[in-house]
Amino acid sequence: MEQGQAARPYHELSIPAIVMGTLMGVIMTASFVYIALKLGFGLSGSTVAAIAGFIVLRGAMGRRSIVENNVQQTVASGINTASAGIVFTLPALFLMSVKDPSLADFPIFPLIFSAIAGSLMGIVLIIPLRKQMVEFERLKFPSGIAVATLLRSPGEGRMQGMLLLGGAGCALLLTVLVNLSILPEDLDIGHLFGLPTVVPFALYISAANFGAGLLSGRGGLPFAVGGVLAWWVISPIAVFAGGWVEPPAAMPEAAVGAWQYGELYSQMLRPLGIGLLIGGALAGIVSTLPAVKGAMQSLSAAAKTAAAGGSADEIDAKWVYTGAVGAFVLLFLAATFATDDMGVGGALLVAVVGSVWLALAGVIVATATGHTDISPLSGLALIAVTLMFFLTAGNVTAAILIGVAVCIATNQCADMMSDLKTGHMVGARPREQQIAQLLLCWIGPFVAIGVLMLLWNAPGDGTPGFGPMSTTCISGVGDCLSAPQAGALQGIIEALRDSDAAVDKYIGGAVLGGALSIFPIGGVAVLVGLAMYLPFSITLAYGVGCLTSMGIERAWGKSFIGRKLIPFAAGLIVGEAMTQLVWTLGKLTMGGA
Amino acid sequence: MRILGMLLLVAGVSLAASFGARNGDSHSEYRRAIGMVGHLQGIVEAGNAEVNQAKEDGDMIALKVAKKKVTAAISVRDDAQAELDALVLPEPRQRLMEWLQVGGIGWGGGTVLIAAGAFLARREQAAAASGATGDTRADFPSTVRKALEVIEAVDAEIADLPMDQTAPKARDAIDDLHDGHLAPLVDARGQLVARHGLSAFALYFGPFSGGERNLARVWSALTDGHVVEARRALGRSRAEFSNALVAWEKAEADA
Repeated sequence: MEQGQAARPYHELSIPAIVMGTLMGVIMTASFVYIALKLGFGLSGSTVAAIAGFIVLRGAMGRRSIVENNVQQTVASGINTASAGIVFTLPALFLMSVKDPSLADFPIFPLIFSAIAGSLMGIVLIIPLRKQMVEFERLKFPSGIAVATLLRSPGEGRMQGMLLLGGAGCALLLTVLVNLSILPEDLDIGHLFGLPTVVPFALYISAANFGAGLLSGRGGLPFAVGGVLAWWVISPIAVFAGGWVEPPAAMPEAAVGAWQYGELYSQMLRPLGIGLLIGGALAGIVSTLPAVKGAMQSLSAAAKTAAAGGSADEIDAKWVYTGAVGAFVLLFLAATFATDDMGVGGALLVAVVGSVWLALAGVIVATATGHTDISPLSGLALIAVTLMFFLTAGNVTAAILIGVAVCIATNQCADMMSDLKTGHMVGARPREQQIAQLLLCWIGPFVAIGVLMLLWNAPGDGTPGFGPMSTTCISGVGDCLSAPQAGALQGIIEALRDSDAAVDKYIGGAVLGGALSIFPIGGVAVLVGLAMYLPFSITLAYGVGCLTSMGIERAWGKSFIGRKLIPFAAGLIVGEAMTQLVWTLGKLTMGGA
Repeated sequence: MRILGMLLLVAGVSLAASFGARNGDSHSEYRRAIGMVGHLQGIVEAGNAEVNQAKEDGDMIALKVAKKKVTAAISVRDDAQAELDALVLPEPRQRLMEWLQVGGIGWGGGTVLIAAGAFLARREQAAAASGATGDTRADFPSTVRKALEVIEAVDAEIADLPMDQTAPKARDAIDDLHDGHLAPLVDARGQLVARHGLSAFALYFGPFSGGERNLARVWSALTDGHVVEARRALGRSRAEFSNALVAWEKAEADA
């Protein structure tokens, strides 16, 4: 009771939120594992879960609490992080076991330990970084803003609601036109002007990508500039001025441009971009250590406040330390029991290096997602597997098991930081989100691994699957799940067995990333690295979004951005995510792909 | 100075990344051989497609021509494959050394340019933080005082409000405070970091952000019609902003 009023509780971390979030998370994980195996890309669960929360919690159950729905979507998307983490890595081991039967007998418990360790480590790593990334650096997390806009929509004015719906409508239209091939995926402007293939000028047609650019504004510009430098400056220098991408003498003229483009992208710029990401993240960690130390102190202070009967907004630091130690022990056990020939010393080395890389990769992914909404997950998983491959003297099973942990952890970092950004915008208490994530982080790995094993062991009666008994895969017709991402990882592991790792680019890029980090522009090294890592059409279309946002701000002022542009851009992101999900599920249900 | 710093950054990245992306001689040769095999494999596959098409069409003459083409293409591809197999992929150490030989100077020079640009940019930022450049200064105390004023006004607005009321005027006041005062300060926070350093900045900007988050909670609770929670969050927001002001004054005294 307060001032004579009967105060019903203001729900936040509640049983309905946890139950609903868990259910949504399990359903999304199971279906997204299937989708990712079939199509090669994962889907983010936050928007789907937030909308489901509106329908069930707010609509059917009549529970009016924005922050409760926020916990619900945090739980659901947190569980779902395991789907991409597992699908991008583990199937490679299954696929390789067909040619090399010795790989087929990998033990299941180390795999589960490794996956849970990754999930837990991702969370405990992100908790002390929340203040740095969300409060001090103010990273945008465009999807986090979109979900916050969605959660706040019951209280926004009619105009904001219309803009949100308008953005979603535009995204729906654009996505359907692209999916029906009425519009191309890449609008190739360079081709119209007869530009050479090595100087590409194409725009990726995606409402969400453009929307992320609109939300990032000036802050996202280094990403676009990085892409422009890579493809409009470095590429011509390398091909025309330097003659550094000389084609084979016998290659016909018509095939030269495409070959040079492929070499520039996959052998030169992309590995250099990965190096820049690593160097930028390392320098970023070093420069923010004082703030992280301060964040840990504030977690300890929060515990004291709570102990004194006050209300703590942050989780107690001792839980962070306990979680970190627990995750490390699980990773060590996973490495120890991964294969028979792994000694204690080797397992300890794998666990230490794995944890360090996992932390670094988590920061890279959270920073990249925070600036651009784009995650270089597959590149970082590749480095993890490469590192482990060399550390374990070519032990594929151990390398992939630790790769699973890294992939889940990095995905968890990006998702949780985005959820914490959403929480900051709707006034949620970070502690409630952190507790919910910590309690339920083990569920996603179990569901994802279970579904994957089910699909691998699909019987030979035409049931969808990707295993050796799957008649659909053997015959090449029907519902064969091709696991494209894992297929790519398999190719890379086979290349590693031939010692083909781009060490020169990783080292050169890392030093360059460190130097760029001295510049007083937030995340510049990670943004430039990401621009080199991604196809230029994505970077350029995102840059158009940034420039449009800057132009609008100049013409109509900052408040126009807050009141009008943000709901519209959020609508673009939400609209594309929902349309793509419905489209994909519809297509799979009808048996096409 | 700012333009010079940015120019050095762009020139440095262009130079360092161009040379950084360059492959050493052995690796370039190896990639060319792989490229040739890949290209010839494409010709073999296209030829096989022609064979299949001719079979489907029952065109025996076309089938004969296509088969001949495939046989010739396979022979050329096998020669290229043999050349590739004869090449040795450089070991990681050799690959690194060869890259340094062909790209090391350009890459190193570019990195130095970036560092020089960063030095100038940091000096510029420090000057802006002290107000020496005439740029608009981030006025932390005035913004926080404005926030405290708005909190008092919202408090008065919702003090006697019954549960389930959504107080649109109070929510508009919070939105206006955010757009007009808090967001511009957040955008100019780089000046504060340059002025006090990251550690001291964190001590007052942390409570500031806490105040901001609790104000967002007031907004959410009012939207949900939970006036009691809105009042509680308003109290926490007031406390956080007041703490931020105290921490700011300490940082100023220590500067």
